This record gives sequence, structure tokens and C-alpha cells, in this order.
Amino acid sequence: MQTHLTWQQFKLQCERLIELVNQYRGSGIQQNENQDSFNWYWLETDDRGTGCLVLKSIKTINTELPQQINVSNNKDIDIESELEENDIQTINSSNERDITTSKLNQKFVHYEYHISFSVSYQVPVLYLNVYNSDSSFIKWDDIWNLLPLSSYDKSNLSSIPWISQVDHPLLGIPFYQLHPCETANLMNQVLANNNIVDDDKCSTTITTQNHENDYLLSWLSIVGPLVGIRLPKEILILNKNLK
Amino acid sequence: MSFFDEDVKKSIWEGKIPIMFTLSPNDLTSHIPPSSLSFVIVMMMMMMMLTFANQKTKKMFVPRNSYFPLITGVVKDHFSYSTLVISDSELWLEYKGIPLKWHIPIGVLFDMLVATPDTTASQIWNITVHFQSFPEKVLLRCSNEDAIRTYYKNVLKEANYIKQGDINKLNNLSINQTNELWDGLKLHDYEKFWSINKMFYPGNGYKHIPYRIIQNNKAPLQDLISPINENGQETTLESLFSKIAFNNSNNSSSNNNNNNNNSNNNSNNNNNIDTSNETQQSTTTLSSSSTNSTTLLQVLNSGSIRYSIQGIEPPLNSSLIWLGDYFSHPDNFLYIVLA
Repeated sequence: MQTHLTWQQFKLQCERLIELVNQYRGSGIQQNENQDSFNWYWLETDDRGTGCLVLKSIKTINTELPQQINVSNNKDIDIESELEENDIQTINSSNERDITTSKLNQKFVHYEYHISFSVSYQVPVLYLNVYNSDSSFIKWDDIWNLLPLSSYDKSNLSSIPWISQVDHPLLGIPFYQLHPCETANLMNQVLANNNIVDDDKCSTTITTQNHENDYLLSWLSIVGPLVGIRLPKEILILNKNLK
Repeated sequence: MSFFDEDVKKSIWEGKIPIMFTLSPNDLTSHIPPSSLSFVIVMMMMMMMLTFANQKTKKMFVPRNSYFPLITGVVKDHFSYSTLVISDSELWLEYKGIPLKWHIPIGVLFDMLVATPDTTASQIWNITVHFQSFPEKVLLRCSNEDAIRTYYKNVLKEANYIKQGDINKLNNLSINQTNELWDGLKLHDYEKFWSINKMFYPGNGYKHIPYRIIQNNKAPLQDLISPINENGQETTLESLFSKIAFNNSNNSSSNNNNNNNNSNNNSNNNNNIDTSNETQQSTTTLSSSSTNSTTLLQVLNSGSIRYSIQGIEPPLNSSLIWLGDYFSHPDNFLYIVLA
């Protein structure tokens, strides 16, 4: 059971993720989906292979509902039912004129996600920035309202990872970071559960090996949706078939 | 030498830097109310500016082992008569066009940006104080004390994770102890701070030594290094440097220029969204893998750059454990500055 990653494992699994996403995009499974929601690539930051995984995607938001910035019903966002309920309530509570004008006032928001390797914690770490179209930063309170995580926070404050602004470990510029100090514990639980299932099936060490290869994908499938990263289940299926 | 040799710890803790804070000329003049009916206000402002002309600067001795947001309250109060813009705007500092990263210890910033081999203890660091055009693409936001407290706590966690493989010691602190540690740092109170901080020093129990090598205001290099080498001896500074691949092709002056450009762009908010590619070029000199390339030790031996820790150059045969115990900053990281 593995709670940490080495740098080499991290890099290999990043490459694998890019391969899976490319397969998914090439498979034609995604209909009407925004292509750039899956455009993960490797950003090399020196000539020795150091780097991180990057995803940039553009989403539209409704500028008319500042209290509860409403992520429009855009297919490229994986909104949990809880958030959708909130959206519906917000829309119902506003009058018709608001809804009409808000449709006219959609604006583009640029998300930039980085997955970097933490040498200290030996785990992957998620960084994000959200920009306006003129490349200025969106204020943190507004970013927070855009993240699906904010709707979980209302009910269950303690179980979420802490987000704060830090310097990007490779680029040295401000990014918001999901703090990595609980990642090993989280993955310990996730992968331990997997092992129990496999033990029932009398599987061998090969399965454990496979879990090691699943670390990044498992982690991203838990953490990603909290910050608006879409990871369709088809990618997880493709991952299984690739073994 | 015993870890509880108070003199060494205390003299490191008490290191101070003389700083002259000067209010940015932009902030002094640019907020004259635009409309003509504000004549009275303009006159009042001009009188204030004359009265408080000598308050455009503020001289202070500032602890190396602290952070700027913990000491700039005084600076902000001092300038409050000379500018109309500060009420709730974020103060930020600049030196020679480089916005100063508040989350890096003050002494590390000084060694990285100012100190030269000829630096004397009395050299004054001239810093410009801004209240407008916050360079959000370069500096982390620090709107209140909680921001710096959270940041400090997270770095302390990281350092302790490196040292012990978990953060139990930190998590087991009582609320009183956590407050004592923070107050000790904030008030620069040696007794208070070290009464708690000493718990984070396991003596011989280190898994790894938390260090950061930093140069030219770029992202620091860090990796896991064992305190004991393969021969069972304590790892020295020399063996750490020999494990680090180093490419000194970007010299310091060109990097400083990069930083200047960044800060200018940022005040206008006209940066390209693709910030990652922009800075990519300037982050390539440090790497932790050591293959056939030049090592940091070789570069240091060639004399083209120097290293310093807490403003001095400890001998290459110094043990990392010893340095970690005595020369670490309050966040428990050992900062090695290359300049």
C-alpha cells in the first residue's frame, strides 16, 4: 500500500495521464465537450526534465449573480448535484429580468491548473490560478465561489484540503495551492480500500503494482472535481483497459 | 557543542539589518483629487506634505529572522500623513525595481539582493514603500496578519515533515503553545519563540535536513538530503553542494532585468496569460539531479558565485545537522543564498 510517490513515478504517471486523455479525446466518446477541458500537457522547466503537468481551460460565468457566481450550464464542468441545486435555487429566487440580462453578461474565465511534485511531501500537489480575459487575476473570494469545493465547505469544513496562495515551486510566481500535508493520509485510505477489495479476489502482487500506477489518477479523480477539473469516468475505464 | 548553546542561537536570532524605507514618489503625489472643487483638499494636502516632508523616510533596524509584514505596521503608520492612499490598500516593498517577496525571511532577501563581499554591518538597505499598483503577478497577497500566519504555519509544517516524516509535533501543540510560538515570532521575543521552537529540533533524530538554496529571487531549490552519509558520517555542506547539478549560464544581472520587466508589466496588468512560459526561461539554473553536468561545488570553487547562510559563510566542512540546529530561520528551513 503506497502513500507517497517518487519523482520518477510521478513523471511516469503524468505521461500516462496525458496518454489516457489523448486516447479519450481521440475516441470520440466526448460529445459536445469543450476540447480544452482535457488538454493536459507537460511543461518542462529545465533541461534536465524537471517540470509539471498543466491544464488550461476557459469557462463562462454569469456576471449578474455576484453573491453566488453562477457557473453556467456549460458541459465542460463537472458540477455535483449539490451545487446544481444551489444554482437552481439562485435562479428561481431572481426575477425574470435578471435571468435575461445575465445571459447577455456572460464572461470568460481562464483557469490554469498545474500538478507539480512536492519533494518535501513526496506527493502530487495541485496549483491553480484563475484569470479574467485581460489576464488580471480574479479576486480570491470570487475564485472560491467558482470552485465546487466552496459548496462542500458549507457543510463539512474540516475534511477539505486547505487552499492558500504560495509561490509556484518551479516558476516562483503566485499560485493557489491545495495544501499537500494530508495527501499521504488520503491516499493511504483510498489505496487501502482498493487493496481490501483485491484481497477478496485473491489477487497477487501484480495488483499492488497496478495501484502504484493508479496513484496520480486516483488522487486527481478525488481532488480534481473539487476545483472544477473534469475527469470523465471513461478515462478511468481506459486506464483499466490499458493495463 | 551542545544544541542548547544559547549564545550561538541568540546571536543568530538577534541579527539585524539597517533599513531606510522611502515612500514611493507616485504615492506621494498621484492622489490629488481630480475635480476643481477639491481646491481646499489640495491646499490641505500640500500643507501636510510640507509639514511632513521629513516623514517620507523611516529608518529602522529590522530583524533578519522575521518577515516584512510583521514589521511594516510601524512604516505604514509613519507614512499615513504623507499619503492619502493607504487607508486600506496593501503595502508592498520594492528594491531597485524588484518587488520584495514578503514570505521570504528578511535576512534571506537581504543576502540575495543586496549583500556583496564588501558589505559592512552598517550598510543601509534602501527600500521603496508602495501603496498602489500591487504587483499581483509577482507577490503573494498579504491582506492581514492571518495571511502571514497561515503561510508561516504551512512552511513550518513542511520543514517538520522533512525532518521527521510527519507533523505530529506541530499538531500536538496546544493552542497556547501555538500562540506562544507565533507571538514570539511576531514580537521577536527570543524566550517566547524558542520555548516552543526547541521542540522541533530532534537532535540526532533527523530523517532529512530541510534546506532551500535560493538565488536571484527565483524559486528555491530543495531536495531531501540525509543528515548521515553512506559512510556513517554527518553530511557536510560540501557534500550537499557536490550533489547539486548547477548551470550558471544565466548570470545575475540578466535575471534582475527580468524581474524589473515583470514588475513593470504587472503594474499595468497587461501580462500575457501564459505566465508559465514567461518565467520558464529564468527558472532553469537550479536542478537537483547530478549526472555529468557541473556541480554547485565546482561552480563555488571556481569563485564565480558565493554562498551565505544567515549572512555569513560557514566552512564547507560544517555539518548540516549543526547548521540546521543553529542557522535555520524561524520556519525551520536552512536558507543557503547564492550571490
